[in-house]
Amino acid sequence: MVVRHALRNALIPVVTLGALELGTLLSGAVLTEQVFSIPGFGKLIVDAVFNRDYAVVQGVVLCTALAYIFLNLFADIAYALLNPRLRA
Amino acid sequence: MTAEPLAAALIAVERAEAPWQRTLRQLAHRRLAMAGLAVVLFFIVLAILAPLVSPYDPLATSWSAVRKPPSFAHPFGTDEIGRDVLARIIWGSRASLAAGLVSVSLALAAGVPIGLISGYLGGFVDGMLMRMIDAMLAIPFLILAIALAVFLGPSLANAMIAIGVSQTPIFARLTRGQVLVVRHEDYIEAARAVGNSHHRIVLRHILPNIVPPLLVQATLAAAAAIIAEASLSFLGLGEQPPDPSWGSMLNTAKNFVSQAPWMALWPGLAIFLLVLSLNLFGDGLRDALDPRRG
Repeated sequence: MVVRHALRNALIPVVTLGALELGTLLSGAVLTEQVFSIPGFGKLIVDAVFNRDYAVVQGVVLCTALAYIFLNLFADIAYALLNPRLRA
Repeated sequence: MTAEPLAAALIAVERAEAPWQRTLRQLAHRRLAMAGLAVVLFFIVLAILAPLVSPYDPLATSWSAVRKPPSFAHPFGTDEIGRDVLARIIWGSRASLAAGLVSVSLALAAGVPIGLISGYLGGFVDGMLMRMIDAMLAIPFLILAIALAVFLGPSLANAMIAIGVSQTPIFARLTRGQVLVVRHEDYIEAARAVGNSHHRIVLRHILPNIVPPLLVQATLAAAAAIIAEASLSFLGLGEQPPDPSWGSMLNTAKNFVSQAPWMALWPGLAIFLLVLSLNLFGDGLRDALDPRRG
């Protein structure tokens, strides 16, 4: 009962906030990857910055923006699934 | 302060209290907000008086004092080429505070007019402007700032511009939302009925009424801008060596964390304190400006 009724409603703000936090997460990855030398997207953009590799910088920005948009879209869909009142 | 303005202020409180007076009174009651304000003011004074209070030249190196732990001569220790960490913290506060002030001013100067035009005119102009703002909001804040800083070239001034531009959409959105609320109020209709021009309605009747939320957002955005400046400097896109900045101090310190933890501790603590205080002050300001709270 807790899972079906309480969790469902309690998840709504969590999903909203989670979607918004994803942007912070993607930004934070840049710094974390730099500190721990993890070869990820953040390290890629920083290395591209120092090589003046504008194409790579643009590419990373585009991909991050796309990822952000889609993750927000999924959050919106999850939102509608959780709250039937929003299904218009 | 002389007695006269004070007495006048007291009478004003007894009579009809002006909104800003009520806000100040509310704000003065919030301990956390006042503590935040005190710390922010402390850092501002520190930045202004840097040449007077700094014990050493922040750029002066000393090969006899390389990575020395805190002592009486160097209260915060010294860094990898013998520069005094305390002096660099004091001078570094200039970069951080300037970044907070300049980038938020830029974001306000660009974002507020866009929001005013968009919210007031509506229709096609609104649609166009908001889609552009949406496109900017789709890119995470720091990634956008990094990308802009790259294209402008690494320097503190360019980092401030990059942060300001990245924050513009937030202000444009907020302003537009507030304008949409305010423009249907009766006093706007009255102002138009009396024959005010659109120009005058926007600047004299709408703008003053949407200042409070903008003020709160500006305080919180200044905190975000300081973190962003530290992040950009950390990555080498902000203040260029050897000029001191908290972010670049952290960057060099990360290579010596096990041998010289004080190199990382103080700049980290300074960023933490300044941002926390700004956020506390912003939160207090928001509560004080909210007429629903007693």
